[in-house]
Amino acid sequence: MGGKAKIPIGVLFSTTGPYATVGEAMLNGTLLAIDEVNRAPDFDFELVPLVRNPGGETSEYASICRDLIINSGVAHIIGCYTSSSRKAIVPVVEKYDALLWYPSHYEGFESSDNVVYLGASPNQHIVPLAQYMASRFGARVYCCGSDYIWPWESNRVMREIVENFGGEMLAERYLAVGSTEVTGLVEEIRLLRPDFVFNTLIGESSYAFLRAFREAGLGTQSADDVSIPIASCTLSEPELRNIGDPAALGHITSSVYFQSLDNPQNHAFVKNYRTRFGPQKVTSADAEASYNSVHMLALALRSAASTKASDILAVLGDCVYDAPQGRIRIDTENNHSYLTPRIGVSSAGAEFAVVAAAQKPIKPDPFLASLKGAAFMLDAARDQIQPADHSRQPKLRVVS
Amino acid sequence: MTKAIPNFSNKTALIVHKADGNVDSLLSQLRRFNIDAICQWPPRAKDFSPVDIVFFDVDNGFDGMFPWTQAPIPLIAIIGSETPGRLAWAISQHPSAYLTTPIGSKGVFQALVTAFHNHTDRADLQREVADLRERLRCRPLVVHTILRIMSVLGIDDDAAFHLLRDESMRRRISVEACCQELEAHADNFLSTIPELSRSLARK
Repeated sequence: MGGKAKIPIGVLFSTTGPYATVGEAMLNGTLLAIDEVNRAPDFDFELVPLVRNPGGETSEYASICRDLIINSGVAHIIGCYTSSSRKAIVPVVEKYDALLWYPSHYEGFESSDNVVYLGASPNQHIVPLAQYMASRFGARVYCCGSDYIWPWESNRVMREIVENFGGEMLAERYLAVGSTEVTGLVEEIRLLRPDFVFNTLIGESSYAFLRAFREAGLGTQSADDVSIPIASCTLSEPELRNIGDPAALGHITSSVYFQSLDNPQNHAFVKNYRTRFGPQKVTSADAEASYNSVHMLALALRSAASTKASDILAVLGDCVYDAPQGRIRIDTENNHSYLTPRIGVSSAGAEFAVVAAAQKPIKPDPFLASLKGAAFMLDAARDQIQPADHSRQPKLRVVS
Repeated sequence: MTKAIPNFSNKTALIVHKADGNVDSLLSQLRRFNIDAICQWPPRAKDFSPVDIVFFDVDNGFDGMFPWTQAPIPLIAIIGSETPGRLAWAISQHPSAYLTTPIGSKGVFQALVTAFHNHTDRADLQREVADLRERLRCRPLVVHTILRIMSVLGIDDDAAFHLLRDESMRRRISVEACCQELEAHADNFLSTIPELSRSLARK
């Protein structure tokens, strides 16, 4: 039996630097999936990972990417977490007609022909979260976040939705990335008594904030009268470990994936992840999206029998993958993914209990063109179906 | 500057450009924003009432391709050639935003956002300029009215102006409009100011 064709795949995640935790999760998901593809009998090729670590330096991403494409014959790169790193890569993949498979949820408003977006679009995580919180807790929100584009843009969406619910954004506060000066935030929240807090702080800032919030007795787990829920789109299982109980308990997260999802694909994913990377490891949305990127790429490579970006994109719309979160596919109108929004509450053991979920995967809407008619959530606890409004297909006539 | 997320869902765009790769890219992007698009070349539309925004080809554009001197809706110029002549012609159409070819997978959203903003901004400014021009035209009348008030009441120009301004506020109209109303009553004009009638009666 002849050897399988070897296809080099660029793997570009910062496993050192400020995003090391996320980078590691994404790298692990990628490597696990590559192993599975290579062991599977139904692929006639072997994926060869070329792993590079830009160390959290945005300036490194473009040069590493260019090197992989020109010198290593790479046509596909699984990579990036922050929007600044992705935006550094986009001109390179566009110029050389390679494809970046981007696994992170992000603020949207982008749609490059040379990027496949496997993470949640804003209508798949911020919008369901805002609707869930406003309809259950009230629409007076306090927003605190790290000072960069993801929190700025997420807060814009949050503001619009709470105002639609007749509420208001009581305050919008930003901390420099990495700052742990959270005392002012906690005191202001105590004073303003919002119906909920929308937290877009990342990394150490977030951990410090959640601990200080708990210390101040403001959290939903406290015995005091005051009980203000904290909602976010980024809090993940590995971070719950970092924060530690009890500060990590009772927080609400909007995500298309939770480790606690109860289906055979996810049970296998979690088991294999632990077998490969250690029994104490936890999976997360970042790990799952990277894992899905590789499987989706493999399906497209097999279907296209080619590595060329245009050939892959031509078949991508027909590829369907039963991911740990459920069935996913790519919307070739915008290269983003059909994903299933869910709401989880953090609980002991670095897990989330799922309290609400969409009935099925929803169409990605990176430009929030259908914000007014955005789909509501199925309340898993109350088993109550709420109306979903599907965006209408735009008409197109070419007259000449 | 609004804080709302820009939304163009269900708007209609007319693309006055030959169907080509650039138009394909443009249509791809417009689909993402739920915008219905019609491509037409050569330009022959006369009724633009169903259209919310127009994209037009500058390279092949010509005077008279649109039936207006002032576009009632935002225009976005699609620039290919950067020659001075073509750029001057583009500007002469008073577009509210610009796109440059080749049109790829980005750029249309920012053009839409800035086009609608600039179009509204320009319309607001033009209304304000027209209003100010009209008020300027009335300047001699204002001077005349102030002088009459000064003469009849024997007060200085400051007092006369304050009286005129207060009366304008009471009637909720501009100072110029108030002068026009007072002038319409000719010699009796001061009797139409209640405050004055009372103080004249006391004299």
